[in-house]
Amino acid sequence: MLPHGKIYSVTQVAGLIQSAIQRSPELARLWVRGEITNYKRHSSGHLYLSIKDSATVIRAVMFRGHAGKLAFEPANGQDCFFLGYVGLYPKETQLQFYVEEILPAGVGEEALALEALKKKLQARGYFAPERKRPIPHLPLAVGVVSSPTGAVIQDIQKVLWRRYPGMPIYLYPAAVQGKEAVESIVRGLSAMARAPVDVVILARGGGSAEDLSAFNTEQVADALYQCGKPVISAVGHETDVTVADLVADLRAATPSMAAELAVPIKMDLMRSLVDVHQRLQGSLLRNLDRSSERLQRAAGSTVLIQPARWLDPRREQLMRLEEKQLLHIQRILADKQNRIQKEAARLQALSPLATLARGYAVCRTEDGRILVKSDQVEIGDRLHVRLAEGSLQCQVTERSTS
Amino acid sequence: MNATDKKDLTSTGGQTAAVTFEDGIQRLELLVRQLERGELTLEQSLACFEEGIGLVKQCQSQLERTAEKIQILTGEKQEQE
Repeated sequence: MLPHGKIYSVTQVAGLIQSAIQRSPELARLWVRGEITNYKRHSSGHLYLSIKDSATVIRAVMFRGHAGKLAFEPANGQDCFFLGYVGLYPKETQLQFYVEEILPAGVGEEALALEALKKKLQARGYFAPERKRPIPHLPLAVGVVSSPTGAVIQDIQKVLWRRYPGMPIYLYPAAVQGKEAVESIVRGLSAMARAPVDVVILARGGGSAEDLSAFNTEQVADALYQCGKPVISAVGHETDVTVADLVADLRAATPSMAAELAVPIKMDLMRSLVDVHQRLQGSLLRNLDRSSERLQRAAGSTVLIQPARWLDPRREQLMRLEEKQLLHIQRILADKQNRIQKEAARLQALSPLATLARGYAVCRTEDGRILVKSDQVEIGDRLHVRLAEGSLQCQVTERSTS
Repeated sequence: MNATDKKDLTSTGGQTAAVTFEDGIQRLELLVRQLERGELTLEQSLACFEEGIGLVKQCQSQLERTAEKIQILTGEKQEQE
């Protein structure tokens, strides 16, 4: 059979395929999910790889311009979402997926779940500043929940004891990544709630530093929220804040920083204590000085040194007063005497004795009646005659009526 | 300030129950300020001073608490306690 009809060149066939592809809007921009295989980063900066699922594989290329913006290093076996278009590599008539963006499938899902968890915890008030426990100025002891091996606990110990030599440290050796991590951290925090510590550092330590998943769980958030003691977290990166960092009472950028926030500098405390002690003594001494000065000033006054000098004028004054009083009383007495004498003189003037003194006499009968008429008596009656001086007993011998 | 100073002076005066270092230092500052104002009677001064010395000792003893090494808490032991 001979060729008939139109004869196509290879290039023309490639062109036909190309235009067929380009006519499909679906193939012009789509997300593909699959696993990376045959991954290779070329020295030019382009990435070459294949995307496969359980049945099929398609070649893919990601040019330098897009590859440079990738936030992670893709690896074989990674489950990813790929955004791009289907095109033809004409030279080999090779169908390819031209990748513009890659998102790791697991991470994408995790990120969504994490956002949902953060919203939920926020709604419960776990991140509220007003529920954060204050960090004590000088803790009795510092608790650390971290990996017992590696640089983290050493860094924390170094900084704690540099600032505060001898500060008691209680370590709960926790797994901070892997399957055990969540349970281990939760147990560590509840152990700290019962330990004799009053501030806790939760630090991620050791191993490949990228796995923060344990610190992004609800269990760890609950344990932090319920710990009852202030917790300083040193978990995430500056760009990558974990749920644990958000729930913790204070967030430190590094374990060393957490240690700095946990304890004061002992030397500063000693200095301020010595200072206040000296001021206390100094001010008491000054007060004592002031008091004794006042006492001396008081003791130096005339009253205490020579009481007579203070007393004499007063005594004198008192005497003068007494004299005055006496004079006053005497005058009053004299006055009264004067008046008594005058009264007596007046009485004297009225007295019948004065009349008698002028030569009159008072005659009384024996029974005491004063005689004013001669017929009051009979001859022979006895009379009593009172004279100015002395008296007489007489007998009536005669009487007349005129 | 004066009013609160005085209030504090009476509210916790003479009490020497365990105080934190920070509380102790703050109260000490208060006592020293009272003494430094020089308005107290000799007896009040002595009472202030006596309380202050007590606080200095307490604060000092807090600074003297030291540990030689890190204590390890094991989950199991703690659970039982």
